[in-house]
Amino acid sequence: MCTPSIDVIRTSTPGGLALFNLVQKLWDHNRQPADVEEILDVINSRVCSPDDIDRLLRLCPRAVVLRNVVKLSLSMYLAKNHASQLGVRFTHWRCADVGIEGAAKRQLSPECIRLLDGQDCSKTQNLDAFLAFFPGCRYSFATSEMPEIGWCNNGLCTGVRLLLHPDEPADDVGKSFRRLENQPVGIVVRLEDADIGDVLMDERVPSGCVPVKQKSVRFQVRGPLGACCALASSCC
Amino acid sequence: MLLTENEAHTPRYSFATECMPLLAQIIPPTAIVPYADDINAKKRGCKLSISRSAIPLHLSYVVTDIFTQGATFKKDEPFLLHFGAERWKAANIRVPITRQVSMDDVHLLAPLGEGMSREKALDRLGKALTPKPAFVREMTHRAAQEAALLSSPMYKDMVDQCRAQDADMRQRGQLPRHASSVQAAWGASARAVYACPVCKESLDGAETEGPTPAQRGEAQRSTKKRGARKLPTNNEGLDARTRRAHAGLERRVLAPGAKVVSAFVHEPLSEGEAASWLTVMDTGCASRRMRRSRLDDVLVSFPHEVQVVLTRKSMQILADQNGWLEDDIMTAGLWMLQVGIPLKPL
Repeated sequence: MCTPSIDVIRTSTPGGLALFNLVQKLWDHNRQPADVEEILDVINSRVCSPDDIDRLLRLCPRAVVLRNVVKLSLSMYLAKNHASQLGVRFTHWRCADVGIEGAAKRQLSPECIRLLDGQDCSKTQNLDAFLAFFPGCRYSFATSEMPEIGWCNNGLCTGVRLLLHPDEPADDVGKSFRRLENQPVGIVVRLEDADIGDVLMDERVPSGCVPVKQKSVRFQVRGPLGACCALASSCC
Repeated sequence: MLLTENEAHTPRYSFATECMPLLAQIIPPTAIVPYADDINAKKRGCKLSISRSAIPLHLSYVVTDIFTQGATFKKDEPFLLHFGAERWKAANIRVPITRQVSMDDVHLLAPLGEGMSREKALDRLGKALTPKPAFVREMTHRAAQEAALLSSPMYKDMVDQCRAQDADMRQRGQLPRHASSVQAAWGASARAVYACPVCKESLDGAETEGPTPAQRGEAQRSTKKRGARKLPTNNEGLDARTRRAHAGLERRVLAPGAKVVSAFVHEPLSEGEAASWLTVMDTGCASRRMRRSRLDDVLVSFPHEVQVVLTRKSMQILADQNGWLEDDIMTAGLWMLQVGIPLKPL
């Protein structure tokens, strides 16, 4: 059988050969129950021990999951770890949500906001409830504004500067992190691949960077969550 | 307001006077105007409309297995794998694992089948890894194609040459980009197979000059009329006019000085690379239905390995610089298959 991407594996090393054999078993369509058992054992032999986790966290790892629902919380944890490894201050905030009833806007109750915090971004127009910033933070774009320079959905970029809200209170530099009262108006990010040069002709925006400004979307929560949110919203 | 990496958060400037002009310079006006995506709720029931204002960025520390397709994880940027306990499919298991280059780089946050009995985990894993019959048929077909390709003496020498060079580079501690080794190995030998499959004429010398406007127009008309999928594999059954059209078409896709390169390229090409190469095939991005359908037609028409697709950026660069239509670029890829350039990762 064909084994796509198997040529990338370095079979010259013991680890590469072990992975090569595992991939061959994964692609073997005539496998026996004993082979499945072996696959399970081989994969589970790579479960990280606490010492492994400590070692890997020093390398600022990323993670692959199968579901979107666990992305945000794990991302926040790994981002905090990355900021700690870089020795920079971690800044985080929550996005601004308001309820819409006809033409009127109303403030959401804390209970409703907590319910919305647990929502997958695929149900909130691809915008996460929480975001963080520190110089060197890894981001991926949630919109496709300019695909020709890599500003497209899931395109990678790196945080450079934060554009704070004008009403943001002064920073308490004594804390190791900062929680913003107001959502920042934008983040200046450095693109991964595209070299756009000094497009802005301004020294405050470095070469190869673009500012990403906040946007507004509207979505509806339905079913039980909608009922809970509506109830919570009406109580506030 | 703009904070440098070493600045504190205290200095602030007016967004309206300082930052807005900067935004307006780089972002088109349509991009900086906030917009709202209305959802028409068709389901009845209790619902609440929410308006959310947020910066359209995600923390990219966690990605899904779908995101990692076509990627190769680097050793200095480890990826932790978490399969969870649900939604196992063959691709879910295979993709994150096969993006690594060594078993030492595979790190699981939790055991596969955590929270369930071993029997249940084995049962679910066995079901997940059992392919559908159609998939088995497709893979068997491709395996036969690959076997036929590798057994052909014409390709065997080229493949052995490239692999030998690649192995030599690896032994010396340099892992070159596949494209570089293939380009170096095939730079001279590719000229030997530049014979037009239709008219059997060599395309060297004057034949490799750019097309005349008449040729371009005729070829474009013939391309639109016939479509890429109808490109024949030999000259049997073609009238003289069609042969001439094909000759013009194949001359047109060979830019002067271009080198035929097929490689397993993960990154989009730079402008310089795209300008000097005729085209580059990518085996990891066949996600567009339109191109997939074309490739399916090619699979039937050509007895070679055909898991190929042009990267979008490469196509765009080629289209911009040479004025080629998308069909032309696809035809170039098909023609390369026709003349026998092996299209498989080396």
